[in-house]
Parts: sequence; C-alpha cells; structure tokens
Amino acid sequence: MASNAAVPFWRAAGMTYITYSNICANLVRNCLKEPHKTEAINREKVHFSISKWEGGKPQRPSLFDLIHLKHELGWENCSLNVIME
Amino acid sequence: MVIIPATTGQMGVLPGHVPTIAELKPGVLSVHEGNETKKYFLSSGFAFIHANSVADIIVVEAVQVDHIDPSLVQKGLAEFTQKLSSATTDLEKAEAQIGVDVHSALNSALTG
Amino acid sequence: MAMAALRREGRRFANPLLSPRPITAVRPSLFSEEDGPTGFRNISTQVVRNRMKSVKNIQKITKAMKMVAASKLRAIQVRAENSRGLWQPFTALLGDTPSVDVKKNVIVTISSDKGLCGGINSTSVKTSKALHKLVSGPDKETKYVILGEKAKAILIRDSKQDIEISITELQKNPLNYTQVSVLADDILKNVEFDALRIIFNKFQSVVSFLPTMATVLSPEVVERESESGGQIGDLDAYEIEGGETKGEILQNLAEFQFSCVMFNAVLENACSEQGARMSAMDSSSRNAGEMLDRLTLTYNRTRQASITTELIEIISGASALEG
Repeated sequence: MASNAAVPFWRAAGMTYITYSNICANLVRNCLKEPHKTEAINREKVHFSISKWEGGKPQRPSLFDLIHLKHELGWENCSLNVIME
Repeated sequence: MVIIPATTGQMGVLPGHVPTIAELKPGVLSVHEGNETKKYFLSSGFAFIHANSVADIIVVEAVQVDHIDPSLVQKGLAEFTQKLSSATTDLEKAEAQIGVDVHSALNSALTG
Repeated sequence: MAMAALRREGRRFANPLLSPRPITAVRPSLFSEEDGPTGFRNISTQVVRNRMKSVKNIQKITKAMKMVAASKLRAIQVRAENSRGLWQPFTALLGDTPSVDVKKNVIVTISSDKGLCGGINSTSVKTSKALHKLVSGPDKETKYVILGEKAKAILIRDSKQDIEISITELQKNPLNYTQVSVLADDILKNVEFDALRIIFNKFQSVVSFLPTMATVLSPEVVERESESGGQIGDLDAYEIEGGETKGEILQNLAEFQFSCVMFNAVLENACSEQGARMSAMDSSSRNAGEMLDRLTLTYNRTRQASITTELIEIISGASALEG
C-alpha cells in the first residue's frame, strides 16, 4: 500500500479502485432508460474460472460469475435476467 | 473547452492548461464546441491533461445525460439513503455511501 | 493433426492405385463376370470414393470454421481497435517502461482456451519464457499468471513451480470491460509485484500478430522512478488534482491502468486468435481441396483403366470369333 495518510472511504472498507469504479459504473448503468439499459447491462456479464497454484499444483478452481460477484461486492441491483443466462 | 468533474470540484480545461492528473468522481463532463455543448455523465475514472494541449479522459462508463431515467435515479437515491442508515459493517457503509454519491450526482446532473 | 494423419493414409491408399500397372490389369481373366472382375473393380474405386467423401466432409468443416472465425473476427476487431484508446493515455503519461529493473516480476501470459489457431499460443509462451530468463536472477522473484488453457498446458511441463494463478473460460461470453477488470482485480489482490509484464499477441492484420509486452509498475516503483528522475521523470511535471496524497492517486492510477491495459491485451489476443484460426482453416481447406483433386484423378484413372481392359477383352473376343 502507498502512504498511510487518509485514504478514501471505499479503500478503508477494503475495496480497490477497480471495485469502486465497477460499482459506480454498475449504478450508472442501472439508471439508464431502455434500450440503453439492456445494452449496457449486457456489458457486465462476468464469467471465468480462476485457480491459485501452490508448489506446482493448482488448487481447486473457483468459478466467477455474477452470482458470486453479487455476494462478494453486494451488487444487489443486478437484475435477475442477467444472472440467468 | 471541457469541464470535467474532478474529485476536488468542477474543473474547466482550455488549451494551454497546466499538465495535470485528475481523479474523477461521478459527475457531468461537458464538451463545449463553438456554441454547441455536449453533456455526458461519467461514472469514475481519470483525466490527464498533457503539456501539448491534449487532454485524455478515461472512464469506465460514460452515458449521454438524456439517456438517464429520472424515476430510477430517485428510486435509487431513496434506496441507498435508507441503506446507509441501516448499514452495519464498514463494507456495507462504503457501498451505500457510493450508492448515495452516484445517485445524488445523477440527480444533480438531471436538475442542473 | 487429424489432417496430417489423413493425408498420410491418403497416400497409402493412392500409391498402389497410381502404380504403372493398375490392379485391374493384372486380374486373372478366369474369373466369372459376377464375382470376379467387376467386383474387384468396384472395391478399388469404392475405397477411393470413400476417401473422397471424407475429405470433402473435412473440407466442409474447415470451411465452416473459417467462416465462423471470420465473423467473430469482424465483431472483435472493432472493439480491439477501440480499446487501444484505453492504454494510449497511460502510455502518454507514464511511458512504456519495459526495462525498469525490479525485484518482483509477475509475467501475465495471455493465450486462448481453444486450439486450431496457428502459432499464437506458442509465441506468447516462448516470449514469456524468454522474459522469465531475462528478469530472473539472485534475490529476484518471477512468477507466472496464466490466462487460457493452452499456455497452461505448455508451461505446466517445465515451469509449474513458478505458476501463481491460472485463469480459464474467459471467452464464454463476449469479452467486456467489467469481466476483465474483475479478473485484474483478482490478480492484484493475489500476487505481490513490483512490475506486471503482460504478454499478448497484438493484432496487426489477419496474417500478422506481434508478440507484445505491456508493463504496469506498482505505485511505489512509479514514485521511486519519477523522484529519482529515472525513466518516468516526466511525471513530476504534472500537477495532481484530487486525493490527499500523491501516493493515493498513484495507487488508484496503477490499478486502473492495469485493468485498462489488461482489457486491451485480452481483446488484442482474442482478435489475433480469430485471425490465426481463420488463416489456419483457410490453408486446411486448400489442402483438402488439393487432396480431393489428386483423389479424383486417381479415381478417374482407375475407372478408365478398367473400362479400357473390358473393351479390349470384348474386342479381342469378337475378333477371335471372326478369325
């Protein structure tokens, strides 16, 4: 981490700038009129699988998708049709 | 001329501006070209103003102001204000705070 | 792979048929009409006909794959070219600093999940390995973060001790910024680094891809370099607006830079992948076409030879009766 001087409230709460900016973008997308909204929400589908390695062996992979993200980031207002692909 | 929503306040940028790195907050970017003004709402990002009168603005989401739905903004603002008062953990508070910030910025973009 | 095997088999079938003495010509003429000569002829042409059919099918598949790759390429190429606007400002500000010497290097190798796309995956792995050799040394640490199945499959052979994270299934949905930034965030949270070196294939045209390295420095290194007037001395000329301290801004900036650069790199690589697949499938279709031509020739020759033999038999039989 950089200097220990005052940090923005979101970093103090354990977020990174990327998380912060993604939440901001998500909120903005949710406030759009149709059809711009659907188009914008389509741009935030997240899906990948990630595994950490230790001593040359991959650990159990964890799958990232929107449900996971909602849990982790508290994106409650992701609409349901996005989750059910 | 462009007016960018820096975290320190609105910032007008004209050719020959001092080289600057500015962090942006959710707010309105207005681009003045002659008599025309285009307004965009930016979620968050950075602006770099270079010495050669070039300004780069990088944002995650930029939308035209008239694409924003006012009723959804009001709803979101109320929802997050309520959440902020009921939040318990630091993370929840921060999320609610972001929600309030973004929605009030959206609100003032529509009214202002 | 499959193509090579088929081609070898094709030759094996074709050779006896192409030999100067066709099989039909040496058949014993004692056999009766039903099970002898005609049956023999039909079998030999049947083999070639089957082969022709399967080659035709393969050609159809490769042609279809080429079409799919071409349409995917068109969609992604525009986005890749647009996304270049995301890293260009960062390079204008911080410069491209591949030669900064730091202790903890993390090499992010970008590859595809699927094969049949020419040499782009082995290129990025080769570049990563060369870079690994270049930056490692005593009391230095170099780790790999791997995107895509293909680079994982190669690097697991000899560098598995150095793999820190592997990420796959990225391209199930069309690539988007949110996805890549969440992924970038995850990398940032899980590895310690002084410099991230992202290796990917930069898309130039459908037939040319440049293995490219993009460097993202940690905020501490950026601060150190700019203060000591090192490679990014220009940064001091900029005033910094917002934030309490320079360190805080730089931290945010570095994180944002990484996600933007990653987004572009992933798109460029996906674009190169489709381009490479397109040209690979194009040459496969062409190969299949050539093979089909050879087989058609063989087939016709065999057929003609047997007809000629039959005619000779009939004519000689008739002349024997006359004489």
